[in-house]
Amino acid sequence: MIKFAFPNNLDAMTNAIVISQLGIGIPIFTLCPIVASYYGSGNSGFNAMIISILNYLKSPIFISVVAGIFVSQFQMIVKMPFLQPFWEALRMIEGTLWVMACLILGLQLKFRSLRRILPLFIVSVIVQMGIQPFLTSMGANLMHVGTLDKQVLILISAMPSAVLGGVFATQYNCDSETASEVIFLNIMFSLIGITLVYYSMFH
Amino acid sequence: MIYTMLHVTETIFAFAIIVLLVIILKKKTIISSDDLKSYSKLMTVAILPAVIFFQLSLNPFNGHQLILVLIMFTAGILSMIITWITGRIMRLRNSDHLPLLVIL
Repeated sequence: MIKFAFPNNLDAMTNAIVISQLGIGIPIFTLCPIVASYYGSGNSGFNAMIISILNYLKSPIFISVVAGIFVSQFQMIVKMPFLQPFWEALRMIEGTLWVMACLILGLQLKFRSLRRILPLFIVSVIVQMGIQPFLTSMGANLMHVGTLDKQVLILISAMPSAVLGGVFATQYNCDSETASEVIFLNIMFSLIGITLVYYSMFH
Repeated sequence: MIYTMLHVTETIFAFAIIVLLVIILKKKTIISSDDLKSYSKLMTVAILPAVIFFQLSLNPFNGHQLILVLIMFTAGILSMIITWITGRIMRLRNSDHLPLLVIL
């Protein structure tokens, strides 16, 4: 998306990768499991939240976030030739990610009642493709970020819901069917939503 | 602008085709919803940790990018809070709150 919006701009691409991996990836991989675990446990209150957070801290996802940030500081080692087969293996695993996420989403989809889903869908679209890009734009103005970085931030923040939300909902015994239905509608709506954000950004 | 929108359209249609294929496979009972739990476990225990580690290891970030990440992170948290408050105002049940919070 960024490659097409900002052709031949290496800075925009590099920043977009870092923003999407850390600015969006880390909240997804940290907050999603905690929220899903908290609501999925059926218990509410402070103790339940603490238990959810402690469970998350022991999870492979959290360990990989910490290990990844730690290893990224040693690029000399990361780029060593004998480690290339290891990274290639991980690249292959990465290729399965979206197929697996779509598989889980497709298995969960039922579309039981559009009337029940509609308010959730409307709220998610307003927040995801309206409020979030607006907040990002305000943040960029406050921090005096350059125009190009601001446009990259707005465009990334307007992207539709992550398919992985449905995966966490299933794993932590939440209402995964509703989550999947809202995610699916949200992604389909992004055809219009992203166009509007993109148009408003450049005009 | 037209190229960007074409690319967005292509990506979304590709996604829709895969989901449609899964629905067809489900209808033909080649895959089943009974396997959902094991697929999810495979994702959260093996595939996701591997991908997170891979992406974070190969993309070190500098101070300037840290500001961009913080802006995005803060906007995400604020959006979740706004969604949670909206859910309370709409008197949504916990089971309805979750999908909204998790998908943002």
